[in-house]
Amino acid sequence: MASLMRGVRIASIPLAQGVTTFSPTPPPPPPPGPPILPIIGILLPILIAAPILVAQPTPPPEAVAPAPTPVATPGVAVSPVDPGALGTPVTPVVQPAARVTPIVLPAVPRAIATPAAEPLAQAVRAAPRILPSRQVLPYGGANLWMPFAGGLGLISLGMVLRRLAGPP
Amino acid sequence: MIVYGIKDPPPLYRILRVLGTLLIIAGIVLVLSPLGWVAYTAMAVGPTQTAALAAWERAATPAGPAQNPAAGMVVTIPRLDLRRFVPEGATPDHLRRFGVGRITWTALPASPGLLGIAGHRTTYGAPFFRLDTLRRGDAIFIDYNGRRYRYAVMESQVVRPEQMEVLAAPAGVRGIALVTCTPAYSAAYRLVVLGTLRGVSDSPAP
Repeated sequence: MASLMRGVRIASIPLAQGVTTFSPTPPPPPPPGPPILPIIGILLPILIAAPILVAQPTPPPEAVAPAPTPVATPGVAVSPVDPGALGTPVTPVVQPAARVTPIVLPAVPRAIATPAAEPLAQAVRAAPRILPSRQVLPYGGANLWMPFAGGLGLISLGMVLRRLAGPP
Repeated sequence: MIVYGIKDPPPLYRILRVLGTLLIIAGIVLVLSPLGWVAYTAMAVGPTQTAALAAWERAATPAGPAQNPAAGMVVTIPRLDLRRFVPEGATPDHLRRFGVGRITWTALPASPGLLGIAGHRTTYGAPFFRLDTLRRGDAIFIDYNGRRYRYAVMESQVVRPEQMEVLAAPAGVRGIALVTCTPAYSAAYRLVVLGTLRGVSDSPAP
């Protein structure tokens, strides 16, 4: 007990000394310019969520076709349509040779796709497919991080310049 | 003691301050530009896609959409709550107008090979924004030429843009490949979701 009381008394001494020696000098002025971290904290979630916020509306339920009744097709294992089902039992996939389906070239309108054109279409489609040599997978995105990073760089540079200029 | 505001700063410092302010304003505009671009492209592609999908479904008579004058197909992915009209050709123009497009040199649903469909990840409606959330077994439906083709997701791959061999299916395999850019907000790589055909049925009435 005595040691505890002695500890309290000793601890109070520096506190009193600190109060008496408190400096009355004014606090330094706040740094100029907007803080960059709050700006990043606000803009980054907005940018990330932008595609969700502006996504196209989903067609109304009545516009979405109902699940069809499976039809047995020679050579193709048909399983009941179960949208979104996980872990659907894997059925034997495909027997391509047993399925004969007329093939239509996509660019030929149906109105002028004469029967004489069908064998030609099949022949073209059946030919060995050679991948284009100097082609890339279709461009499906945009480098949106570039202007975002560039903007952050400009903001940082502007803040540095304002800091160099000193307070107004 | 320092007293602020009594003396005017030197001209160089004033120039630096003005220049810094201008850079900050320009930076904020530049940072916000992707957001504006995403919103603008979504508004641009939305009505076109909606009109094309409506026209496709109107043309899908009980006799089947084989008489559909608009060449194309419709892709439905329940997990993504996605249903889009897919025009023929993943050209930049089609991707700008519809958000998605069929890669013409890939197979059609009725023929062996991989059916390739490319779509935007973040802009132009962002149809494939959550494509990376598809898991093995998820269903993908393609309505084409009066038939509904049901695919099941098998795997996802991240490849370089020039790795087109990922769309070359082994002989006899019938499947689908959904292609988009990855990571999001970048076009450095391509995300390819591969699926195999599970069944064919009559296309449902719209």
